[in-house]
Amino acid sequence: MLELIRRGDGRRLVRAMALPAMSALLLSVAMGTTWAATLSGTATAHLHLVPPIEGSTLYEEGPVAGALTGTVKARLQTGALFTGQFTIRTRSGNILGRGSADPHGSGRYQSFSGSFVATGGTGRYARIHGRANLYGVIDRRTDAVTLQTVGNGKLIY
Amino acid sequence: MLVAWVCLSALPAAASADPEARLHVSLEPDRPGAETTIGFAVQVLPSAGQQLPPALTGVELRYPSSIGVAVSGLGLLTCSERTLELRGPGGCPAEAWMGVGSVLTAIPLGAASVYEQTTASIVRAPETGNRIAMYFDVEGDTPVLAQLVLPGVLTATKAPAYESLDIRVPLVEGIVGGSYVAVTDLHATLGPKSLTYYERTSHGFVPYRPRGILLPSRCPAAGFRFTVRLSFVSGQSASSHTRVGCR
Repeated sequence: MLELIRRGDGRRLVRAMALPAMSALLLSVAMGTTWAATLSGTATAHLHLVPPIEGSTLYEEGPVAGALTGTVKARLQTGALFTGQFTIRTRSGNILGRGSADPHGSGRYQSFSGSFVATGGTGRYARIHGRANLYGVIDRRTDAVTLQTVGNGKLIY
Repeated sequence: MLVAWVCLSALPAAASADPEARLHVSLEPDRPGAETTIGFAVQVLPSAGQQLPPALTGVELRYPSSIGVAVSGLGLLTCSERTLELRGPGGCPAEAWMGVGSVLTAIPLGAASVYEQTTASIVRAPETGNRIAMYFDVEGDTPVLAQLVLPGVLTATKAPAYESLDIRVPLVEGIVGGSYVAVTDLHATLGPKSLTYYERTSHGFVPYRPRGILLPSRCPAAGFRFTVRLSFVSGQSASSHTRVGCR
């Protein structure tokens, strides 16, 4: 299943010097590289469990589509607070990140929401930094996870 | 019987001037990587010179965050407090049950006390403030017919290696205008032991045993550390910890 919300092609190029209202963070990146880009739109990953389960830790992997296309590997620590480490592999490079989220809802489908922070990358995303909104649902019968990151203009590469 | 009350230590931390707590924890089964049922037993002892401990107002049970409580197959449905009050735990869906237990209470009557053994049913509750929640339905019938619903929530702690189950205990007067009922023993099992869930398939409802609480594939050399901290109406507190090993 694929859910896609894009602004243009999902990769919005910004000429930093032409936008005086741009944040200082983006400006500093742009001055060094001439161009900076933000990851916008929604990337949705459908992950399945990679056994074995390690107590409260789930290892998951699966395809991602939308603003990013490729695969995701995730290590999720579940509990009173959900945290995770992610590797998103795309043709253009990899994105590494971590996230934390509060659980919501009750019952078989446990949803969670929080934030994703990019911690590093390779290729096109070698300079990625910033954060995005993170949403997800875990099926507690199958341990399948649907994970969604929603760019809010703060994920810059 | 694979029950293993592996209590490497059970150390009451309170001085005799305060009430004391003694914690025992069991894992059944206790193999690394197993889907387990966790058993808790807490004994509450009075301060020196007192007949009963003060009334309990809260229980904080701290456990290692490496144990998969949140991703267990327990509590796939929820049960409302209203359902518990109107119909009891039997009115809850089978898939809301997470465990069972018992509570020994003492009702102060002058110089004497009357003890009452109550049964506890643990069911998944609707979320509370973005936290995974459960209800402890405690019911007794002799000598006092009573029902209490104790809310509990899973809470992150400052120490990332631990999280806690926080249970709020309401005050109950033993007799009108009298002293509050004291709790002297708590027992609870959280896990699939003795639970049956039902899954809807094309052939109807198929019974199954829910997945238990998940243990990591490697156990700490010193065992899993559990701590209980009790709060009392007197403002006093008592704590105890124990370690449980794997086979």
